[in-house]
Amino acid sequence: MSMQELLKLQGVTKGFAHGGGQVQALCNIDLTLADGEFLAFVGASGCGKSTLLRLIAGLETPDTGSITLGGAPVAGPSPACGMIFQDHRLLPWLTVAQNIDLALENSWLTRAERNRQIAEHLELVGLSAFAKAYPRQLSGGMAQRAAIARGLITRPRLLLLDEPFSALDALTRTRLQNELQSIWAHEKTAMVLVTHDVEEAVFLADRIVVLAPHPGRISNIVNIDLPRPRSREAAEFVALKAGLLRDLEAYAEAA
Amino acid sequence: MNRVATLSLGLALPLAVAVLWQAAASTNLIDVTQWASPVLVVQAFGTQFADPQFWTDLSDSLVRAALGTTLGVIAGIPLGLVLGLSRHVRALFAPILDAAKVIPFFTWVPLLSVWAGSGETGKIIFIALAAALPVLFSTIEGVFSIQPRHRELVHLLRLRPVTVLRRVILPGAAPGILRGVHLALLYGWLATIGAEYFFEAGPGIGGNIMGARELYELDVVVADMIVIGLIGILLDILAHGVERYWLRGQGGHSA
Repeated sequence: MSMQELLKLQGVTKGFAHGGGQVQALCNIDLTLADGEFLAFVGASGCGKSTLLRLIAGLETPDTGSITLGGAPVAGPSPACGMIFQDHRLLPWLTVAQNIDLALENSWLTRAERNRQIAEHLELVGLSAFAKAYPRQLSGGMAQRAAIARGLITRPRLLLLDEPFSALDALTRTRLQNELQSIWAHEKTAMVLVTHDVEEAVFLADRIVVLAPHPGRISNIVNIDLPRPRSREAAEFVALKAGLLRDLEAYAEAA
Repeated sequence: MNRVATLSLGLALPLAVAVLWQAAASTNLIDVTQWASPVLVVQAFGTQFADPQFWTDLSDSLVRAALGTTLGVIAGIPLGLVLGLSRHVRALFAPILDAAKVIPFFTWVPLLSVWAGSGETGKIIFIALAAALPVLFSTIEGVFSIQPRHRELVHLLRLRPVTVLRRVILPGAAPGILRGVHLALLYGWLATIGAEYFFEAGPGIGGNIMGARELYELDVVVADMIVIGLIGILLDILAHGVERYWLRGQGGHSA
C-alpha cells in the first residue's frame, strides 16, 4: 500500500460499565488505514466491531490509546468522517433532499451550490426522482441509498458503514453492494465497513480484519487481492469466503 | 359497528332521558320551576338567541378564552422545550411541576384574585395558567419522544442549535406539542367558564348562567350549559383537525 496513511489506531482500549462490573469491549487495537482504502471488520457478536466504528467516528472516546484521522486526533464527529448506520436514520419529517441538506449545514456554501451538490449525489445513488419524497415513501434499499448520499455529500475522506445492508432483503443487499463498490471506485473515499456478512466483506474490501470476541481484539487480517468488480462465483472468492467463515465459526463455538 | 350505528346508539341515551324528563314534566310529576323541561329549554334557546345580550356574553367569553389560551400556549411551549431539553432545569423544577400536576387549577383562584385582581386581568391569567400546564407537560413528553438515534444524528452532523431546534426538536416534539395545544383549548374553555363563576361577575356566558340562576330561570341555565358543551365539542374537533393536518404524512414518526 503505497498510498498515504489516513487513519491510525494505537493501543485503543474501550470498556463499558455493565451489571456493576466493567466489560472490556475492545482490547489494544492497533491498525492503520491508507487513504482510499476499503477495510472491513468481520466478527461474531460481542467482538466490539460497532464500538470500534463509533470510536473512529468520534461518537465515543477510547479509555486508552489514540485515534488519529488525517494526522489529527479524533475529538468528536468531524466533516472528514461520514457514517452510515444499519437504520437509515433519515428524519421522517424532512424530504430526502432536506435530509441530505442537513449534512451541508456547516459547509457555508451558497444555496445554489448546495442544491447542485444534492442533485449530484442523488444522481450518484440513483435517487434523482425522489428528492422530494419523504422517507416513509421509500423502500429500505432506497432509504439506505439516501443515507449514503448524505454520508458522502460533505466529501469526507473516510466513510464508516455500520452493517449498512443487514436489514435489507438478499436481492437488494447484493444490488447495493454492487453500487457501493462502484461509488467507492468513483469517489475514492476510504471506507470502513462493519459486517457479519463474510461475502459482503470479501466482495468489497481490500483488507478484512477478523475480530475475536471477549474482549474484542484483532485475530487476523486477510488481504483480498482479487481484481474488481469481483465475481462472487470465482473459485478464489469462494475459497476466501470459506476460510473466513471457518475463522469466525471457531470463535462462535468458543463463545 | 359502523359510524351511523355508533352515533345513533350514542344519541339514544340522551334522547331517552329527554323523553322521560318531558313526560315527567308534562304529567306534573316534577315541578318545572325546579327541574325545567326539554320543551322549556328549547324555548329558552329561542329567547336567548333573540337576545343581543346573549351574543355579547358569548363573544366576550370566546374572546377571553382565546386570549388566555393563546398566552398560555405561548408561555407553555418554550418552557416545555427548556424543561424537556435540560436535565438540570428539569431537576430544579421537578418538585414544583409534580405539585402543579396534583393541585387542581381552581385552587389558584384565591391567590390569583389577590395578586391580579378579580377583574379581567385575573381571569385572563387564570385561563392562561390552565392552558399553559397541559402544553408544558405535553411539550416535555414530546421532547422525550425524540428518538436517541435522531439526537445522535445531530451530534454526528454537528448541526447548529438553531437548525437542531427547527429541523429536529420542533418537528420531533410536534406530536406532543399539538396534543398539549389540543388540551389547552379544552382546559382554556373550562377555565373561562370557571373564571366567570369564581371571579368578579361580568359579561360572559358563565355570568349569563349565574344571572339566570338568580332569576330562577333554570331552562336558560340548561340551554347555556348545552351551548358551552357544544363549543367544547367544536374546539375538540378543531384541535383534532389541526393535529391531523400538522402531522399529515409523518405516519406517527415511526419511519
